[in-house]
Amino acid sequence: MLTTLTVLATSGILFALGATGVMLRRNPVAMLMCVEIMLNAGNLLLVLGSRAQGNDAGQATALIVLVIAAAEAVVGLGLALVLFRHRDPVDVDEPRLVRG
Amino acid sequence: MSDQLFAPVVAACVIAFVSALFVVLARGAIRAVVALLAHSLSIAALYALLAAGLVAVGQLLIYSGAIVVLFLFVVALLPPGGRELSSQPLRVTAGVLVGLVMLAALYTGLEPALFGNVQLAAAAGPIGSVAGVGHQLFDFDKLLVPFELTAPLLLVAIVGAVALWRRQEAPA
Amino acid sequence: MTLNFTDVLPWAFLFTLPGLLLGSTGIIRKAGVGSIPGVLALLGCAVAWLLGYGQPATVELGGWLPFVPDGRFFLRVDGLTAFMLAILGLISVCVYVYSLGYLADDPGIRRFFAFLDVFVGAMALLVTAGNLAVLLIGWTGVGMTSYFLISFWRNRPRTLNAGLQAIAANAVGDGALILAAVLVPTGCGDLLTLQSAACTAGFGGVPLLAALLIVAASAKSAQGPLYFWLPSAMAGPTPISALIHAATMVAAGVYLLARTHGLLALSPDALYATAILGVATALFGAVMAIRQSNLKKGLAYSTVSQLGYMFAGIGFGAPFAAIFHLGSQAFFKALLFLTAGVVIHAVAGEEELEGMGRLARALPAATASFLIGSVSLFGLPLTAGAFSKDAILDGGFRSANDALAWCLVGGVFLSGLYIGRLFFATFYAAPRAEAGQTENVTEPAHEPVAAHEDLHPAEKEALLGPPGAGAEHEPPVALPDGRHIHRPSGLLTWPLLPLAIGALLFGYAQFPMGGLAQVLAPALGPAETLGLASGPGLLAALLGLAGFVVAGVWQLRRQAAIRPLPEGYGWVDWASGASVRFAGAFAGIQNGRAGRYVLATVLGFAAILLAGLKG
Repeated sequence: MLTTLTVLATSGILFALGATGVMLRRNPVAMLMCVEIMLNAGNLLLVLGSRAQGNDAGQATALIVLVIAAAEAVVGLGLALVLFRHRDPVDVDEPRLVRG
Repeated sequence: MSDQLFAPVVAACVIAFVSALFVVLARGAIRAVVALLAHSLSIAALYALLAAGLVAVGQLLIYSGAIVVLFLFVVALLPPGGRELSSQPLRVTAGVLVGLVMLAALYTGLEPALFGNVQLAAAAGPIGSVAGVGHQLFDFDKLLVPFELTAPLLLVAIVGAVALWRRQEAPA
Repeated sequence: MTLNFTDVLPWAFLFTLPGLLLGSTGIIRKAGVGSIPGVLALLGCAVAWLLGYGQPATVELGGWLPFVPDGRFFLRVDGLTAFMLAILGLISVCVYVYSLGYLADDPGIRRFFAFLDVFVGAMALLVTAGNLAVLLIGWTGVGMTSYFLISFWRNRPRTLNAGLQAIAANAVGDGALILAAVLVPTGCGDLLTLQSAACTAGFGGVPLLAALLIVAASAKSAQGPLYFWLPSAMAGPTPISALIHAATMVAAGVYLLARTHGLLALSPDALYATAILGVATALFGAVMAIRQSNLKKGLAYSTVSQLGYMFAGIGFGAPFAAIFHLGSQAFFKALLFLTAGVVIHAVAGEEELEGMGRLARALPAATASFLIGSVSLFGLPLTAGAFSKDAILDGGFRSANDALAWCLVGGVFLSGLYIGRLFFATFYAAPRAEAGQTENVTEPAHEPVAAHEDLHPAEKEALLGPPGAGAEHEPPVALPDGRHIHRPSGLLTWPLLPLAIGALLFGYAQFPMGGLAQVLAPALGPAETLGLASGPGLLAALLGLAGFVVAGVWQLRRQAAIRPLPEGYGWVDWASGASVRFAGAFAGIQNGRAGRYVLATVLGFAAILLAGLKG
């Protein structure tokens, strides 16, 4: 019971921490890393739920979310590299047109 | 069961939290990446402790082994590791606000689970086994369609990433 | 030996296969000739079936696709199928013969006829499909061949872009149809039993299934937001515009909704949504058609508008009226397109209205055909278009959708207006060179770029080669005003005749004993309405005629081929300006500041979560 509580709390805190990080950081790659933290937190919750219900569905979903995280990291990092090619350091608050 | 695993679980949670804190607060991108690696490893340990063996291995292979390495490559490719503009007070306030709001929202959402006396099911049995998770992924009325859809998703991601870079090289 | 049309007709999708093989392998030296017997056979068998020599039949091969709820290879032929096959056969025969003339000098003509054969086969499969799985095959088949044929001329700018637009819209429709095919409970897929209680018990029930079918049909028939691909599809050869994008493929959406009208009837919301979609698109298409400076694009928007009428008919709960109008539109729209092809061919590839004018004397057959097509389009009393349009209006009033029906009546005036403008500008008004005026038609910002760039005539000559004049290479004929006209060959003009006859007389198909209504009754339910019996119908016909005459006066009085819209249309500019300003007010949200986006996302998410949990 206490275990569940701990993991649940960790998941929630990690998610909020990730959100804070996305807001806080100004480096696109760091922002992406904080998004990954949020993803991990979500996955953790899924796995916990699967364990609590005695069901494998949560774990299967967690695997699929892992794949989605990979895809998102690829595209996000590609974008970040493109941004950095134009200007270093990058100001994520500046509205700009990434050509192409 | 719960009592045996309590200590390792708490340890893994603490490491996960601390490393996430490092990711959020680290000054350079390289340090953040290393912290992310530690974070993902601790999460994998948590999965293993929660009787999710396949997912734990998946986390190790896919996340720590591929995604974090990808981050590492990118950070290494960026000229001086990707410099970052200094933080503004307004931004810090907004960040803290975001964190608190998110915590509040999640608390409201997770409240029934937190205080609803959720018991962990018996650890033995098919939970977390390859066959079990495999059946979830491949049965017609379960997660077959999302599983198959991840394939075009990955294809689109690859094509997209290549297209993004090529557009830069060849002016339209 | 008696031909058993009952057993033969379900296999209609294979009729063009011999022609395809003979043509593509080169066994028949002259391209395209080998394909004509196939479509003739299709026409003949379908008509024979309709005349009573065939009975409804099904073909069923089980266990074909095990992973969909209903994976049989299931073909069904009934009155509706035979009717669609007859339309397909007739228009195909005309278009095949026409194409022999139109593309005679084109080096890709063999490829063209191969694609045409595949298209006719896929379309036949679509209409003979008995369940969703087989329908899907035909559906995607026509979509793919449509893409190949739109981007047929690979050396012209923008044809590939147009083809990709068609694929984009088709993807949406295909996705919706695939979802519908897999979301029904096990064993359900038969198109005629979709409305049964067992089949609507699946995920989402009737509303979801109906919505998916409507989306799929809208994508194929260019309705609502998915209209954009049809005007761009005019980049393809004119015979394709006539066959695919006027008469058959775009009608597949209407066919699907008519076939599953039982399911739609279960959801009054779905019917109402379809009716609104149809009326809105009908009016939108008509307004857009008025402002077009390109002959084919004007006809394309006209097609969008007419398909809107058919959707409205479905939404009024009158599938017979919709199918009836489908038949009329097939005739007069194919006629209009093929005539447009004759005109375009005559003026050496020029498609803009600026390049035409005063062609009546030089092209009398084309003038007559276009006139026949026009009067059938706006519904001159006693033409086919009048009967079918009146059937739709009648359906609207009977189903208590008076407001929408009156909107359609008003829309007929717009129909007369745009088709009159096209007719008089092409054939009677003075050409641009004489008038020295050009129209500044500004297309809305979101519309895709025109399918044809404005090429200098000499460049066009170099790109396209000298326009094919059919079997006989006639020298251009000089007109009194100095322009040169290429007279159309027999291959280009004879196919117009059956279409013209159909455009005028098709409406009478409902009258004889065993007429159209009786043939379609098993599939579509009893037809409550027969045309031209009501006041609003007659009013609509008169409004159409009025629009036509107004357009004529407008084009001829100014003595210029094209003119900016007259002052009375200032409200159009005002409306578009106001909507641009309204949209601009929201543009500030897209300010590109990532920090703001994150803040808004998190706060919004929290708000939703809290509202959902507390509320």
